[in-house]
Amino acid sequence: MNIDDKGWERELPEDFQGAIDRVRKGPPPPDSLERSVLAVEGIAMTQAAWERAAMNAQMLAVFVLLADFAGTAVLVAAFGFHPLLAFMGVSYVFSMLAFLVGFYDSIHGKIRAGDLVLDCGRIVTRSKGSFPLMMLYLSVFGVIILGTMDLQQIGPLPIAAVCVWAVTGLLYWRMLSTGSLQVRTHGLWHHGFLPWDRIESWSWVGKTDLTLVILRRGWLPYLRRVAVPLPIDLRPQVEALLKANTNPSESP
Amino acid sequence: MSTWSEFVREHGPPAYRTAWRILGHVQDCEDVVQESFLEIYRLFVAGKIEKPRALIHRLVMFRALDALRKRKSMGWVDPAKFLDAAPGPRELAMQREDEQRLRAIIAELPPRQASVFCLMHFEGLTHEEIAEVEEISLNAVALALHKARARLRELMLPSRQEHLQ
Repeated sequence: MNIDDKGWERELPEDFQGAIDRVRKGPPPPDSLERSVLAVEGIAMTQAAWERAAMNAQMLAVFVLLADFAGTAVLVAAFGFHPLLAFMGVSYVFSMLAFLVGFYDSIHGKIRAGDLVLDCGRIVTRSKGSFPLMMLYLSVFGVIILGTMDLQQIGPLPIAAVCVWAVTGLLYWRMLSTGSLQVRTHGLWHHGFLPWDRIESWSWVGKTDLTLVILRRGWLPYLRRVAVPLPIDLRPQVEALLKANTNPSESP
Repeated sequence: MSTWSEFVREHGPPAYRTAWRILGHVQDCEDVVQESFLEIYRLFVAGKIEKPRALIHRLVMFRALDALRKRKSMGWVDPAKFLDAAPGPRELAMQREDEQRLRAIIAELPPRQASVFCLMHFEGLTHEEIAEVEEISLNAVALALHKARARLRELMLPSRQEHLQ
């Protein structure tokens, strides 16, 4: 700062001269600074967790589509089915199986997880965006079917089956996109059961938008990180339970 | 290239201090720093950061001033709200009040002028450094600074009279 700048400050009312000087020199609270630096250091970890979750979803979608196409090809080649109908049939079987496995896993996992210790409430995750996508997907299929097939030829049973599928699918999607985090006696519950001994480490990221990042033991690197957004006021309780039940090093 | 941790350890504290000078409020500072570094992280991963200091100054300053303006539009200018919960000496409380009045006045300035003023008077940057951060010419820096000071002088006097009343 040159003399002109200082000269300008001297023209100001005294209380403002002092205020500028204090603002310039006043140190921030050291604990807050340290906390902030730790939080931004953790950004990489949270971003990595979200990116891996997105990668998992994409890989799964590709796998399901390939399986769908393979099944359709078999039905068309071997039995002469209409391609769209065959595709819908295979999708129906696969997705209904996936829903059933998901629902079973949800019920069975909760039994294994033991009694509820702390319910952190419903958490709207970033996957909520997939709900409108699913709606769009269904609408496009509906339009294609209505536009290319004679509904009277198909008959009421397949149409009812498709309706059941759509409703089940939407319910399942809804369940996935607004899962709750629960601390239970034998581990955590978040879209599935995570026993205490499978938690390798955990950390907190963020202040206003708090995220619990868990690194779980496992051999598939893409499936190891779990990011769970949490209300900030629940942090002390969740942290105390994690410390009491796991033996990892917290690495914020 | 340094790791993200090293990058944050080097540039995080100065960024926080910049936000602190403008906002003087712990929670707001932490939010501003975190939002800024989220954006910086994307650039960091893409390897697009050439001048980290200038970039961080620009992003943090922009977000902090934005937060300051929002705070004002939300009727957040009552200085009593920012005083520590624990009662302190009267003089200290008045100093804090002056600082908050100064910040409220800065929030009244147009963005470019506010930014140039803060970089000069709070951060102690030279005209050349400000030109680099703001990506403007030296003349534009001088002009913005001149206008900012003139406007601040205008705003400070009535504010002081109101305060004394």
